[in-house]
Amino acid sequence: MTTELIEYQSYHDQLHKSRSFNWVLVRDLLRFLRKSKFRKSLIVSQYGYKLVDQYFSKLDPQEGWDLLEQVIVCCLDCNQIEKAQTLLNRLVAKFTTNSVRVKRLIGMLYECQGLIQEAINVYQTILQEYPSDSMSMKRQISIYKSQGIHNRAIQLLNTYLQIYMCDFEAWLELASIHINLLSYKSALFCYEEIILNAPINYLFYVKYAEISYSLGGADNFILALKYYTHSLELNSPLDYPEQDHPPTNLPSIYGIIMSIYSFCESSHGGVNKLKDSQVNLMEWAQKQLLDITNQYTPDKKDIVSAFIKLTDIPKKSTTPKDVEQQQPTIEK
Amino acid sequence: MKKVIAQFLCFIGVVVFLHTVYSALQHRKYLRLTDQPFERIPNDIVFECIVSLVIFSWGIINTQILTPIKVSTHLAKKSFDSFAYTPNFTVFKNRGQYINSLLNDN
Repeated sequence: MTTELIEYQSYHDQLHKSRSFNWVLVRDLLRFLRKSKFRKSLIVSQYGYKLVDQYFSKLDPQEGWDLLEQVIVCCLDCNQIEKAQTLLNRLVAKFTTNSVRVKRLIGMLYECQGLIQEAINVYQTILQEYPSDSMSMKRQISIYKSQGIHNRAIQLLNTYLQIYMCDFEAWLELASIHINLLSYKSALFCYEEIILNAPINYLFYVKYAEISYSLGGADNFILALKYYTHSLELNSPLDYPEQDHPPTNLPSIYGIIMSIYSFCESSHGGVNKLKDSQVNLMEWAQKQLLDITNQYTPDKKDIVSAFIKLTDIPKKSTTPKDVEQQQPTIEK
Repeated sequence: MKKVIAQFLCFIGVVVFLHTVYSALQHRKYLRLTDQPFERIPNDIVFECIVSLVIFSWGIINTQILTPIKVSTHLAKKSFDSFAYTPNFTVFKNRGQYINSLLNDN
């Protein structure tokens, strides 16, 4: 089993190793990026532009136009307006400006050139024709975001989310705007909705726990601890003992240590208020962290053991009874 | 080492099974030649068939590392990068415009 990051790295290495232009490899890379949603705009605008410019006839025609759209957006992300313009002209020649997707790309080009009013006009004409075009609504929201008018963006996003409640990308966006404005409480609510949408994805639990930890306070530290443990239950390093890369869910092991430590330090918390199972969990997390470091990155052992020493909690005044318990337990 | 043995046993299992098929066919042919009705397969062939099944299934289980049956297995290889970026909400007023001019100068 490999993670997506390792997969991307192998694509990257192959691209730099091959001397001639390997168009199959570039096509596969673009496919992979569309699936995994990584933001690698510079690579796409370099290699992808060459692919759609010189090898377009070799591509599957249906996929070719999708690739063209992908490359245009990445060129705009890198502010390479001339490249985007030439590719867009090809799309206009094929589909004419009646197509909604082409119109939206023209709007994006205006945005990139800084012609905000023209872009808004484009999106509004699309919305007049097709009032349920969610992509254009999202573009309008991101225009407000780019202008720094966050209140208006949040307002529009809220009305958008009343219609499309299942769109978890919009919830993510709303959460990230709230985090930028430091209103963690609202961001927490957004992540609750996201977790309802995707209850088996460990990443959202980690995110939720991180926000709850940032809010601070003894109760929130314990809440964060619960969510960290739940994400560990979904993606535990014990599930995949024989693999050649470190486990993907290290943040939650660090999170468990940090939230228990902060709970002990906070004014309403304290070591004596911890349950026995939580003390055991702390020991388990420290042991796991050391084991993982020994196995994958022995050169960083000093840093990790210093971290563990720094965040260690003092012994409880009453001795814990069931020390044998190894697995993390979850109190709900 | 265990893997090699398991692969070997898989092979043995298939061979034994083919042998049962062959002997069952032979048995039918013999019955037809001697004009007896075909009622049931003889016990030794049934026994051989079951033995081959056991050998083969032990082998096939041990030839590869099995992936754990868990709903979230495919999500375990996702990383935070894929959720930090929401493509429909991209903002083009970013550091790209400055970096791009720097890249073009060099």
